[in-house]
Amino acid sequence: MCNVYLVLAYGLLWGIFTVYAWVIHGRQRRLEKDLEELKKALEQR
Amino acid sequence: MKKIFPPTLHLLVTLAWLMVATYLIFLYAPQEATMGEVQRIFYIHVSSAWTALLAYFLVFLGSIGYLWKRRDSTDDFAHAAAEVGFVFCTCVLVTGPLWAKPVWGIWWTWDARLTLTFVLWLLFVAYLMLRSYVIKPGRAAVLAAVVGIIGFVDVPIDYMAIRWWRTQHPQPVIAGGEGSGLDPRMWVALLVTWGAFLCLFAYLLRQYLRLAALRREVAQLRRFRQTN
Repeated sequence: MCNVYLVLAYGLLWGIFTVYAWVIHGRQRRLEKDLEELKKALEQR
Repeated sequence: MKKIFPPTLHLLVTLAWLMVATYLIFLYAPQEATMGEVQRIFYIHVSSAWTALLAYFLVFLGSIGYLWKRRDSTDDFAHAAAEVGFVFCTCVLVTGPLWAKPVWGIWWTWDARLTLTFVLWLLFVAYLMLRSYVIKPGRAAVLAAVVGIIGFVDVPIDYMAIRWWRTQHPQPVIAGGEGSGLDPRMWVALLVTWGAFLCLFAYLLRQYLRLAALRREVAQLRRFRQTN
């Protein structure tokens, strides 16, 4: 029989890390895009 | 570092290590006699707590380094340790009550250990809020470094709380003196889990440092565009 508290603890832990990794990846992608746009704008001058 | 141990390899090693830890927790470590299955929360709860305490220690070191040398790299390091440490500290506060409810019959109590861990979480929050709300970068770094140093007082007291005071939180089973101790298989599962968490911590720290480097590069280019 599976213990509901155990499942919740491991599930939430997995969820927290997945969300955090996804957030940090999103922030990196946004900054990389900004950086690329800035470099392009400077090159065009 | 990037050439010797690239981030993708680091991520793969972390995932493999976490899988080994999961195997050891559920299939290798014996079931605890009085608490039963729910005791297996212990491995992730303790590993998260040790990692969160270590993270604040790194915030402390980074903060001292920044106030001493005023290098952006030490500030970034402290900031990264605070953000990742906050995630681990949140895990401690989530897994703790989920273990407490079936064992103690309550989700939470304001005993010394629990309160000091909550204070540690608030310190991480305060540090990160300062970084977000103080607009001037140099000023934000100095103020955050002061919080990082003063707040470190909480870490040794939190660690020693269950040794100094009688608390609802269990007395130490590790390095707790006579009568304390763990089954050797539980020890193996705990150390492997902590190792996996440290590997995950290091991976997230690297990712945050990459983010900080990108942020500085973008800010520099924006300044350059405005002045030229």
